Amino acid sequence: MDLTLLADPVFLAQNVVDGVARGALYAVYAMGFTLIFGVLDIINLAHAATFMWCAFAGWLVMSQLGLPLPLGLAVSMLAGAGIAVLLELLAFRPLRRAGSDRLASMISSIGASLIMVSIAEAVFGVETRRFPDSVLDPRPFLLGGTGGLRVSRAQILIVAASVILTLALGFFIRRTRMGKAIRAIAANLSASRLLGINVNGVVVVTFLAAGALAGAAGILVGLLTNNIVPGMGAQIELRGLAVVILGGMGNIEGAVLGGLILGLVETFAIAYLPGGSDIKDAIAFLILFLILLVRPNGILGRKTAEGA
Amino acid sequence: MGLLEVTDLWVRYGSIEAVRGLSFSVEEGSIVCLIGANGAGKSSTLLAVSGLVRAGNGRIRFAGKDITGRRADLIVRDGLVQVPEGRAILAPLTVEENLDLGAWTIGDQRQAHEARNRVYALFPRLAERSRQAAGSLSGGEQQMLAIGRALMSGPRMLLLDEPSMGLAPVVVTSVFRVIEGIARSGTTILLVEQNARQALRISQRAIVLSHGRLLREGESKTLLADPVVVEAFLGKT
Amino acid sequence: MSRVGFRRLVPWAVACLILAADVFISVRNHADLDRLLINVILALSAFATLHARMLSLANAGFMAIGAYTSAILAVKLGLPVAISLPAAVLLCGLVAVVIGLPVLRLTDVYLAICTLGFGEVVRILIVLLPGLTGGPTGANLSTGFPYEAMRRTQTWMIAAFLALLVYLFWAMSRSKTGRAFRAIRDRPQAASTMGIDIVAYRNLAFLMSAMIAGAAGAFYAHSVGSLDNSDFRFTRAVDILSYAVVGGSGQWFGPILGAGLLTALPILLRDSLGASIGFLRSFAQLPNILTGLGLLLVIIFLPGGMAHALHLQRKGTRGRTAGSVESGKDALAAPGAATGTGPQDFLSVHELTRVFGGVEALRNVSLQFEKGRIYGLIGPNGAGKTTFINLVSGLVTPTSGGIMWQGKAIHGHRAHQIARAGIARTYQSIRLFDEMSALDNVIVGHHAHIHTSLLSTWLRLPREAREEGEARDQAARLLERLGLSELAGRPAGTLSYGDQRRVEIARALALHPLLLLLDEPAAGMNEVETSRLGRFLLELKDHGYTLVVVEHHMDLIMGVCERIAVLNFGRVIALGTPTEISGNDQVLEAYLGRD
Repeated sequence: MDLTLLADPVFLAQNVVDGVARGALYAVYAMGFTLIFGVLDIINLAHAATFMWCAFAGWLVMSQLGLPLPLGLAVSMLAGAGIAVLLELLAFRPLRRAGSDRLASMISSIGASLIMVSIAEAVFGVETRRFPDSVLDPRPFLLGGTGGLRVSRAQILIVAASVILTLALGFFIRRTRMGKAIRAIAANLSASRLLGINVNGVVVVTFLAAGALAGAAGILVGLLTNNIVPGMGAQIELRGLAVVILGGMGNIEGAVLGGLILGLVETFAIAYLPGGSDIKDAIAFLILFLILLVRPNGILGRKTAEGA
Repeated sequence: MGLLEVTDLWVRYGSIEAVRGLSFSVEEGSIVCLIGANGAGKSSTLLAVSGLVRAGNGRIRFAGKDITGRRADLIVRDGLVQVPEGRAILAPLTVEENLDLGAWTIGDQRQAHEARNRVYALFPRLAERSRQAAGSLSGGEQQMLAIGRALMSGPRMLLLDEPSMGLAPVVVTSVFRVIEGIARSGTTILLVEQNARQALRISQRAIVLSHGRLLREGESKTLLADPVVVEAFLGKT
Repeated sequence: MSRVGFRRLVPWAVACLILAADVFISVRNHADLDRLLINVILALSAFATLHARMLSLANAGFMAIGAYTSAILAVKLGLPVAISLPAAVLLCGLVAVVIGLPVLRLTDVYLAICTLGFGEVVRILIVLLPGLTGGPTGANLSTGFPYEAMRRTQTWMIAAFLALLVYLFWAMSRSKTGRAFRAIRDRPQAASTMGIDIVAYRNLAFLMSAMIAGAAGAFYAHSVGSLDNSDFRFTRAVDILSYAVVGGSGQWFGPILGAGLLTALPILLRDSLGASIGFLRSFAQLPNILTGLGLLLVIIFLPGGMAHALHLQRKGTRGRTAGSVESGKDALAAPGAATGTGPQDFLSVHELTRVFGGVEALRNVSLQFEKGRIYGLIGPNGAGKTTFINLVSGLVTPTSGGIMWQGKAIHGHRAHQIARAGIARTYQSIRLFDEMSALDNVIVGHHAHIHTSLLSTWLRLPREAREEGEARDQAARLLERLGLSELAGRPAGTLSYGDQRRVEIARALALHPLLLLLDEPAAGMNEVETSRLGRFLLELKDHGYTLVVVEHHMDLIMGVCERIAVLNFGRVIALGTPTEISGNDQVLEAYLGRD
């Protein structure tokens, strides 16, 4: 390991910046995923496919129709909301009606995901797409001259967006009437029915929110990596799993915390460990394993993971 | 015709017949209790009336309207609210949030606000703990919360499923006093209870269930002394 | 043709079609035949875990380990397949044991996620060790072997291995091990209280699954000739899962059907449609779309998979049909004498306490039970009666206090150990293994007394057949004693409530217990059935069994029990004979409430 790297404060700061931006991305993705689990006890492995389709939707309107970034983001979030609701109606509600268990809904989401990804591959092929440069100025901000910190606009946007989305989601869940209903059905589904809550309706709203978050994540990832392919869900899906397990399944603050931790750990590993970029994929899984084996409920979580 | 009319109700869970052809009615403004040994079918009756469980056969009418098979949340809007067995409060939410959710069917915020004040007046302890997580309350307080929550929507009729369960005798007495007070202010009450004596004391009429069937029906005062009630619980000596 | 007949015929017609399609593609193209056989083997590896109620997505990873190990041994060390393949399989087994220790503690979805991660880690390792594995572009085996010559010999080897696997699964399904797995799949807790060590079986299932997947991987390597780490991506794990789900993971031939369908269908469609239409790109995705669709549709509309739709009546344990029951040995003869010195040594609990999240379900309960008596445990709803039974039978551990059985402490022991020590129980809400016949349910109770292993099943050792036959006879006699002979072959889930209760009692008796804990055995019974049950309980006492009966049916309790303990709010409030209890004011108050 190059020990001089350790002494370089600018390099360190750069990695912090990069890590936070990366972590913020993971957090936005994970929030939607953990919302569904926290409320409905469903592991929605089609969240990644939703995310991917939203990225393409954004790409379509921005690069083919020339729409600006805010509209692209809006379209992407709407698409996500729509896809998520479709998933709920087709893949999850029938199982809930039949009283199936968690594994069944997980398998259902795997099937849905496979269909969605395959159709995307058939329609879009395997070439990577990227958002046009007109969408966001690719020149980074340089702090402290050419040898200093580089912060790209994309990174700023990502961190800003994730802060806004986290606050918005928190406000929605804690302060609005609908958010209360969502917390009610998360606490006790049948008691909520007895309160006059239309449970199916509230479930739909939950999926709308989760899907919109997937859509936001899709655009943000596209901005950062400039690599939009039908297979882009696979990488983030497993990272998303690591993040929610790290932060505690069903825990939104945990998703944010977990995302930041994973983002920073990955970035620092790439920067400071020799061969780090090869094992960066493995880091997420290592964290996943360790947490599941040592503290399955995650840092902030409360549902139990160990059984008979 | 009674506010609640149940005719020939059957409730089955697979091959188990929990309720077998039960018929009864509840007059408006009265307290009727449904008593019987464990497994007699009391809770299943309430679940069917509230729409959480589908009735296999039979008809349920509320305020003249047929509500058999109606969706549970719509029955609440009709004015028929259940306080479920085990209280089923929403533990991670605060007391106040629990109460507010009881007013979910009321669109008018001011009405809901007034309802909440009424509940706080009825249960001052809840007002003290309004910002606490509902799961941290004692058993008796949780029962008060569950009842208060049910009152928020101003229901015409309350279904209470074993309110005394798991509560110490002193607390049970105060819970029953509250129930009497609610009835006095005009709400009709159908009370399912294992604690037969208290239930018989505060109710006007009683229905005794055994093995899912109607064993005896009549004035509570008379049934208090009737040996059949003792028999239903403790068997023939 | 009647509607019922038509509905039964359709799944069979589909199955035949699948078979025909498979034969067709196999004959046409050698590579497709190999692929089909390997997929079937993979499907069986998924079955191994699914039929123990575990969703493991690790098989792609084990397949990769098997493939690369065998390939590396063959290419780098020049070992013949006959050595490299078994070595690869053994390595998979080793890895499975090491991984399994921490991982198998996890429950359903967490296990699935963890095993998913395992698969990906294997893939990353492959990429990270290019020297060994040829890196991301894969290992090429053709440099080490004459490709053509090797491939032709491979197919019969794969087929032979598959045939062996089918035999092993078939034999297992009709044996004690197969029964145990089915029991675990249906109701794990009930299985453990019948003496089945769930942890051990889960480990066995995981081990089998890993080794089979490893073998499939090795065959894959030698059949295809070159390896790429993308052969073992998550989509591979999903494919394997889909064979088992679509085919039905309830019986061993289900996944075989699933693999047959999901392998043949895309090939046929591609060949027949792909050539004529220009959308070649779309058709590359067809297999995945079909797999996804299959998973989705099956899990929603046909959760049991195709095997379930075939309505194949489970033959169950082999042997003569029930009915020809030998008389002679009395089914109810209680097992040997209790060990220990005095009557106090039978069962006693001291200051037994159990707290659930702040609620004291049981508080400082101290009771002593003598051998050979019938005890009653009564109390209002929520008094702690079922908690008491759960504590003694080992499903729940005490918060404090102790349980002594025959002079030894058993608190903290696992349920299956306590069952094997001679304590059997029934459940308040019936927990029979619904899909199994009544007879098989009872035989499960006998599990701990059959000593032969899976190996002797596979080797068809005569001792195994003998023990199975004895178990079956015992079970048949027990059912006869309880008046259930005619229902022996029917699936337990279809029986009436009262009959189910009696089967559960028979199952508990099959354990040869010294102590029987009955949790509301008369629930749902009418008066006639209840009094018949009461007479039977007295018979059991005459045969030397000790009973603890939790009940609300006071007629039964008062008529049958010698001593009654009354619980309320987790405490013992009264103890005595039936006369003493029914006259006790405190008891009356507990039940009927205070005035």
